[in-house]
Amino acid sequence: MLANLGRQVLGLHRAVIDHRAALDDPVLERLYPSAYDGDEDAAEFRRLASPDIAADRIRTMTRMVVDLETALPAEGDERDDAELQMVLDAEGADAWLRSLGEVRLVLHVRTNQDRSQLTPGVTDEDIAQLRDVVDWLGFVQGTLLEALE
Amino acid sequence: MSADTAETRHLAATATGGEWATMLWDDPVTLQSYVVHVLMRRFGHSRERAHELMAQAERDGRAAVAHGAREEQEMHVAGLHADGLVATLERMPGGAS
Repeated sequence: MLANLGRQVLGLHRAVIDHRAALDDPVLERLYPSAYDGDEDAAEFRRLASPDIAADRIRTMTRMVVDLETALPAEGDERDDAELQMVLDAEGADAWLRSLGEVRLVLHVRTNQDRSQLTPGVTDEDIAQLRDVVDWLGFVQGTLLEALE
Repeated sequence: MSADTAETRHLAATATGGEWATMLWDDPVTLQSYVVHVLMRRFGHSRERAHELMAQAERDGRAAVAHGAREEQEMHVAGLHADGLVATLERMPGGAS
């Protein structure tokens, strides 16, 4: 599930690089916020900085997604996903920290959006489950941070 | 805002090289421990100082986490954005002219 979510977030950043991004998407507003009070300065900053930030995010998110997909049990393996063990080096840990936080942020924004802005068919139960994922991601991120200290 | 005014301001800012500050904004969703981690890593603050700044941002809505030349602050702000935090740059009051 986390790998799947990661891949979806990757799509968002690719859209930023390709200038296909929906400018009024609250997720993009949160991930690429305004750097200046003034509209012109803010627009200029966004224009120049966003592609680099997006490229950086694609690198770090891809790292986490690849780590996850590599560690997934092969078809027919009976092991529970929840028991996956990951060994991360310092660089990997940093990538995971950022990526976990990013997926969490995206879900947080989405689950707080007006239902009419989301894909049709999303139920209250879906939202509740995604909110649980937000909490779980916070727990995982916190645990990883503790392990790094 | 007219193009004139914006351009004048921009020229004024770059001509004087006035002091700019990187402002970190409070964000209730993000883990406190993560903010502290980022501040330590990105700016070399001690854990105590990083915690202080994080707490200040929570209390006041925002806190100045670095200051100096405009280009440098833009780099800091972009870095904080990439880390998932909300940050802006501002002219510091009474900067060198």
